[in-house]
Amino acid sequence: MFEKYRAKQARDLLPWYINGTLSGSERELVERWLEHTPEARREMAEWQALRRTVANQDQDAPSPSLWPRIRSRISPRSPSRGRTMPSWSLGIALTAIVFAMLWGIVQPGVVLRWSVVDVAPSSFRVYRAPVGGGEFELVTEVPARSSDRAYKFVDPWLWPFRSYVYRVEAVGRAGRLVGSQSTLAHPLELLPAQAAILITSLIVGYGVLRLLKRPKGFRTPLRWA
Amino acid sequence: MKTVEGSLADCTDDRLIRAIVDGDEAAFAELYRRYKTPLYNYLLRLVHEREVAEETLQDVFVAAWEGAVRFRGEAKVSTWLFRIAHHQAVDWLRKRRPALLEKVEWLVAEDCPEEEAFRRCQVDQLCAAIDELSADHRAVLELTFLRGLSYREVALVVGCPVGTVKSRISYAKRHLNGVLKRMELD
Repeated sequence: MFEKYRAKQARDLLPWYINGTLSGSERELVERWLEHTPEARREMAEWQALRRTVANQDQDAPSPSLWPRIRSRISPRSPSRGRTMPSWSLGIALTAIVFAMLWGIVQPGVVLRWSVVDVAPSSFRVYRAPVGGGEFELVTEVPARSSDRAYKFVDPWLWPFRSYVYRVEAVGRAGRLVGSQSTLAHPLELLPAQAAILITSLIVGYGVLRLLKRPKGFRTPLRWA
Repeated sequence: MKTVEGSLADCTDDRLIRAIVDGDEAAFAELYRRYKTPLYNYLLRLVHEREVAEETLQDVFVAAWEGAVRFRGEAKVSTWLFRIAHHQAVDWLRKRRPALLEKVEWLVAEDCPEEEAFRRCQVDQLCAAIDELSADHRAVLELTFLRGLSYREVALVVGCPVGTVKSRISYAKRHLNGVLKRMELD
């Protein structure tokens, strides 16, 4: 005798046994039920009749004018939308590139200028320390040239809301100190130039993005050929 | 070299969707060619008006074009399309004809005096009875027997639990059996 619970399970699955979409174990359950229960075979016949009726219903086609109407409603999109680099990350990358280029060209940093009189150092060491405490750290070493008297160094990477003390040391051939000069710098004065570079970069990045996002029409499906 | 049309016709549905994501109109046309008739008939059985079925079919394909980017391949493309169609149709029924959603009425069998036409008459009446089922019950019958979907896929399309799908189809059968019995009595 087939268990009542399993019989109910099998009965519930009959429509999908008929349409052939059951898994192996489900199919076996239904087949065992059909084998052991005469009532199951009667139900099976009823479902098959119902299936024939549903399947024999007339099938109409939509009017041919429907496709042009659908086509007129869909908006073209750029190729590979959603699967290549998203447009926002492209915008960030563009902005960063423009920012780095402008920063390199304009160099909105503290400019140190000095000249050499009566001494012939081999190099200059530039040190920096924040005002109000902190150790001097070596920022760069500039080699001295016999043909040059005037030198310049630009320090662009500074926190604008802090002042700094710079010390430039002239070093002789044996590493001996031959002269030294100090000066105070306020990077806050550089903020307008830095902000201008940032804003320009954002505008250029956004503008390029807008150009890229402009609708281009449908692509022809050449890759299918 | 294969022709464009030939290649497209050989493509799987999933590949068509990937091409549609890339903005390929020819792939979209192929998807429409494959599914316009089954979707249209499914919609027609739910909404009962040709004009509405066509309008809804438009909405389905526009939604498919716009939603292709979000298609993750977790279900078959056909299941996804039928799901969109089902929701569009149910939305329309809710807005325009709320009574139809709950309606489970049966046509009284008309007299069919000619013996040779009796069987055809029975089939017609049963079809009419199917048409008079509520949209929810009719959808489950259609998706199972006309579209050959598994019960899990039917549940996905109509957006209800598997248990509800099974009870809806049993309910539909009980009522259609009732119609057949009445026809036998007549």
